Amino acid sequence: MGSRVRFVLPGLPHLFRGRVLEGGVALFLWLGLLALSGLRMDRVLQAPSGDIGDWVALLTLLGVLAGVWIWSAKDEVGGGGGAPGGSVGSRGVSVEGWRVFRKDPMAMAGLGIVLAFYLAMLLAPFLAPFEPEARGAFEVGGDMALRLAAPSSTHLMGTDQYSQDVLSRILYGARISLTVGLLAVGLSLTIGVFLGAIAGYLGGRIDTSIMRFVDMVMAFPRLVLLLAIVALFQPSILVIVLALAFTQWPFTTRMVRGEILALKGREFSEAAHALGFSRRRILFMHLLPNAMGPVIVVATLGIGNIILLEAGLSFLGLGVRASTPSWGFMLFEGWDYMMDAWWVAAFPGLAIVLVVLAFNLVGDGLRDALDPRQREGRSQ
Amino acid sequence: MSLLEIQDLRVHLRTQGGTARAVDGVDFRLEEGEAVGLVGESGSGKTILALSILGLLPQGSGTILPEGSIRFRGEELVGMDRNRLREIRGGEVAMVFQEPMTSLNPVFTVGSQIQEAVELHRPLGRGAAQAETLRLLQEVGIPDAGARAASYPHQLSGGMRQRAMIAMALAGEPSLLVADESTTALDVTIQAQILKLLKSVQTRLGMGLLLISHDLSVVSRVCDRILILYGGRVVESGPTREILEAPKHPYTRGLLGSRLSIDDRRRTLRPIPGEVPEATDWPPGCKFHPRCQEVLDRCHREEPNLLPMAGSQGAVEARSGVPGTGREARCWLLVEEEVEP
Repeated sequence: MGSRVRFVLPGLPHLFRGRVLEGGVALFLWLGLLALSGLRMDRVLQAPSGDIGDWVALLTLLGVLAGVWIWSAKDEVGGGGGAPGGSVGSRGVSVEGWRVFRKDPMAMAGLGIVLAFYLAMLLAPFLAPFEPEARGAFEVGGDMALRLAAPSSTHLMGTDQYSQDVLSRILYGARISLTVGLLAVGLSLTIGVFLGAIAGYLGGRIDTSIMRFVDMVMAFPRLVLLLAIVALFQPSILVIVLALAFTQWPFTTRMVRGEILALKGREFSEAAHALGFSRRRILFMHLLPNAMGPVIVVATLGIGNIILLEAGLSFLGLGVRASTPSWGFMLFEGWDYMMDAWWVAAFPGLAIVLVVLAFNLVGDGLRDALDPRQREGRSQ
Repeated sequence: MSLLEIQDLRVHLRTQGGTARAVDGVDFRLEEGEAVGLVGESGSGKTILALSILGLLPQGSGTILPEGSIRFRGEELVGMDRNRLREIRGGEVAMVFQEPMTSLNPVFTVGSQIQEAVELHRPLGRGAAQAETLRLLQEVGIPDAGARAASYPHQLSGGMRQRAMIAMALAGEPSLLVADESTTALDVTIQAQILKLLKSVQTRLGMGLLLISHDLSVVSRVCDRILILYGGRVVESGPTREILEAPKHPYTRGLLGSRLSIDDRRRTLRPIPGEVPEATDWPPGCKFHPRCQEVLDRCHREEPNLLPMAGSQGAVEARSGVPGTGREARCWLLVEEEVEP
């Protein structure tokens, strides 16, 4: 009888066998998403005729549901209760790191919050109780009746000065805040890792010129540089992402260069030379993978930092101007009503704090998990 | 044509203390399938010599000038085009390093690292390269090759790692293997196993082997012929047995005297006094004279040449009769002996 349960309630069998974390998450996702699609059936059915955001939301919904179900079905069939990746012989660096990471409650909490925010962002069209542009007038029929309404059961986080639902706007606003962070860090990583690797490995004049440029960029106060760039161009998403990436890559470059410098003196690098590998191959295929641990940590911390910076720019009125503003811009707009309607500014602010905090927790956890010294001690 | 022929090789390093003459005029030959040992204390220039064979001398700030000639099967390696040199490295001349603990890349499995070397040097498909990787692991005596191939370096013991390093060196089917202190970091028992492995692989594949060590007893177990290096120069060379039984150079005698022996417990250790001077300021005359216990007046002024020894029974010398393969020593004592009595 128990074997059938997993097809109906994925995660429940795991819960009973002591794998509370996996089981709980799976069950929560399964029930939560089913409930969501049940409650907002009309909205879900409309999705295929909607915009890209609706499509993404629909695919996310179906994808996560299918993922949970397949995981539950497969895991039970293959496992019989053993921990995943239980073969002792060949445990990879990443698997080893994950074992350390999952024992760290703060890091796991951070990871949970981050994933929850991104999932909420993707599912915004289904989760948001109102359209972000919808004014309260819609509902009650009275002109500005719902302007700056306090949190209530209809408007969980209240409404703003245009009678728009704050919760809905936060969910939609996440698109800008969260994607800007990812894109800017992705871009700065690409540039930073490449330049840092080259500078560290080749040394000499190339190293000097790259690093002096890095010093130059870092010599400017970051916010001032950002303000200058954004003021120079129209603040579109692209400009913001580019500007943030431009002020972020020097940190990555500096760190990667240091790592590569240390690695290229190691014996395995010399051994690779003696085996006849080309310098390019040694740098990118042999040395760089060894430097990825710290890079991942810095990137994670960087996302939080960038989300904060973007919020700061928006707060200063230089952020992305779109129909649905980012959290920073909501904060900026809510500022004027802080005394009468705290919820307008407080909830976007809380979202920023939570996400940044979560990213920092994940980053700290990764730092511990990927620290080779800790791993070395563990593997003996 | 010899497999490896080194003529008047000089490697000078510019350091802050001046120009270090790390290798200062070395000649020797290594024939196909021959095992030659290179012995010297730290600072004698043996590692620099090994690195210069593969063109691996550190480039950049402390500029290094290799001069002279290193010919591999007649092909000049000094100043060779970088791409051709890369084909030779690993493909025809392979090297096994000292530290098995750090010579493997920690983030990849042992098997994938060996396979990568196989694929680089041989035109094999993925499947064939994989099979070859397992064969190489078996060849170097790693039990349960399939499971070991999927292991990461930190999961293997030092001896296993050194075996894996040897497998990787064999991946390109080289005809010359350079082993630089390859057993120094290992336990004595493992050391013996690895030496045996090197020897068996060398005879089976008919490779040339250049075994570099500070330990005369290590080298004498494996090599047909031994070169003793001091101050960046060969001070004595000859077939292993003759070097051990009738050392001609006081330095060689010193090395033999500082060996421990189980057979002869009453023998006291007689270490060589002093230490190798900095390569930036070699003493004038014979470089060994400040530490030599049989020093002559002449040793302070002039450096002796490598003198061929008469009456040598060395098999190798009989083979070729060319300089650099026979019994030779660099010491004034040998000249005085001939003149005086």
